[in-house]
Amino acid sequence: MLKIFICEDNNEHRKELEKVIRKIIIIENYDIEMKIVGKSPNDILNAIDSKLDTGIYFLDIDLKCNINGIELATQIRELDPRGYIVFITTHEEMSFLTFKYKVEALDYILKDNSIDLSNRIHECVKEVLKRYSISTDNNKVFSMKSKDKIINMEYSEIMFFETSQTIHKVKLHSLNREVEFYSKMKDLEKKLDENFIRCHNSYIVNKKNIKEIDITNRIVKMINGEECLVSDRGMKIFKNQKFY
Amino acid sequence: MEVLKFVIIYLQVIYFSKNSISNKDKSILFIIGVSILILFLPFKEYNLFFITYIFLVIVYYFMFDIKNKKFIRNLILFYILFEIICFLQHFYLKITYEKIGEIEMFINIQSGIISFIIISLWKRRKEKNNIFFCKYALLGVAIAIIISFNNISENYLNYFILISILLNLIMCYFVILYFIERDLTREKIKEIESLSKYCSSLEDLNRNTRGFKHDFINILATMSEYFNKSDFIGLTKYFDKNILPLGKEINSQSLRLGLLEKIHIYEIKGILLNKVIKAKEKGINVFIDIPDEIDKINIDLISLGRIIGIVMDNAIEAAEESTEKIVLIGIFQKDSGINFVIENSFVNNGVYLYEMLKEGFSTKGENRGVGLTILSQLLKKYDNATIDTLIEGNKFIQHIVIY
Repeated sequence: MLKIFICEDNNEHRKELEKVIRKIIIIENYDIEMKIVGKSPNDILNAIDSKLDTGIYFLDIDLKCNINGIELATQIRELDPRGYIVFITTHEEMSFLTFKYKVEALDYILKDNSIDLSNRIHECVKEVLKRYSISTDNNKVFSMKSKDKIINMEYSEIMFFETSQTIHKVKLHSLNREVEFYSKMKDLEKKLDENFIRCHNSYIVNKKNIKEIDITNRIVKMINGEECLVSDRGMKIFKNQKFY
Repeated sequence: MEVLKFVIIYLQVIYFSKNSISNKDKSILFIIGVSILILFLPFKEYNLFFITYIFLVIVYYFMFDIKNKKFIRNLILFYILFEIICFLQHFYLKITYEKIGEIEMFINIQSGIISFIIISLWKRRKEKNNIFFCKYALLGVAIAIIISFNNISENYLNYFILISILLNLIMCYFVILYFIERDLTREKIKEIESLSKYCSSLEDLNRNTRGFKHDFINILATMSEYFNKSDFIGLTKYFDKNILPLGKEINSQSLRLGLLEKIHIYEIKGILLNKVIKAKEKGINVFIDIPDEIDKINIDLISLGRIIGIVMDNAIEAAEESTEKIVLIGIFQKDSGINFVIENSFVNNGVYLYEMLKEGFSTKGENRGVGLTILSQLLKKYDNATIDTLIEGNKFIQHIVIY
């Protein structure tokens, strides 16, 4: 079950936030519980139960104490790695990229614009629910942890994996993304299901995104036009699987 | 002896063609080349070497699909140059055109060094410091040639050859030293330029702040007038007309350049600043986000400079063509690595990402678009660097992590 944590030092803002969120939960009948509405970071940190909770955290950036919203978020991440973090901030303090990439926050909401507040919060909650339902369905999302980076991608979007020229680096190719991470091809093979074929020493291909196989040139063409090499063994696998 | 000759010429060709063929290809080429040559070795006649060489060139042309004509041209030219120098040496040493053991080896090595210097000179003929280099290198070549031109009796020939080779090596050493020093100086000059640009930007910022303080005091004074007269209607009008717009102006001008002070590596600070200013001049909005202090990074600074330069140039170029014209730069520490995130708006023509990353792709016509390719080549060398490139709607994002 998803749980909501609010951290805002300004009393009025905090009460307003709580009111808005409760209203949304009741009206839409979401399966979400309001866990903590706190003034200081420690209220939040002490309340997180790592084993049970996946939380939605609404955090103010400027908390007027020794740690700011971003540091708080980093600590929250350690306790609840899959939690969803939303920052409440003013125009001046916006650090888009820090929010998005360092903390991997879901979104940010501007304090200055109080009219929009309710709508924005509602949008965030909807997005959380959407992602939560996909993430619990292990069959849909490929999740890889490489050093401190977590890569999430729906299996259907993956074209293929390719080894980089340096050892232990693998590159994931999808339609709109190419991302490198540290892994061995062997370990990857074990992790992936039978939709992924190791057709070459350097390539693991997603069966479902193959457009055609060029037998003479030993090349697999993906639906976006990218090409992968196929070894002898790879050709045999394709033949066995009746690709041609 | 043919093998030695061959090795020398080949090393030169490969060295000077280093941009056009990959390392793997090079080693394959080399091994095949030497093997074919050795096959023909038993026949020590001069003519056969020539034929073998031409044969090799033709084989490469058809076998390896080397579209770069330079490589073939180099193979032929370097060989001709080498032979000319060899011939000249033979001529001046007044030794008949027969192969005599050690002298032949010495002549080959000498020719190799001299032709290397001549080719280097030729390659760098357009550089500014060229005259300096020319003097340096020509001096070395002259010494080498003069020594070889002396006609010494055969008794002393061996010692003389040894000394000559030694002098050649010393000369090469100095030439290499020169290059290293020149590179270091260039880096220092760049650093100084960066820092002074940084200084002038800070001065601009300072000036703006002073101006603002001045305006602020004036505004307060005016406002106190309205208060004194209890003229709240007038005060409201004044506020709407004069103060609100000021607030918006401050926000838009705020480059957040001050955040750059968190980067304690001067070279990087300088490059970033340059690029931000360059972007601003092109009318692009730049947003900087640096939450952490950055003290050191596990990659040599010259490469890092090039990487940042290329990524920024690409981002700026793409943003310029877009309607939103915005570039966001984020640098932060995440556990064990330093992260660089650059987002830029761009015109999304529906071209697939892999096509955009291919060499030669560019929306600006022929002979451009090597930036992103050079970037991936640079990053491939490092085990401790990863890159994540993605497209989100009309945003192009590159996320580089250096562990």
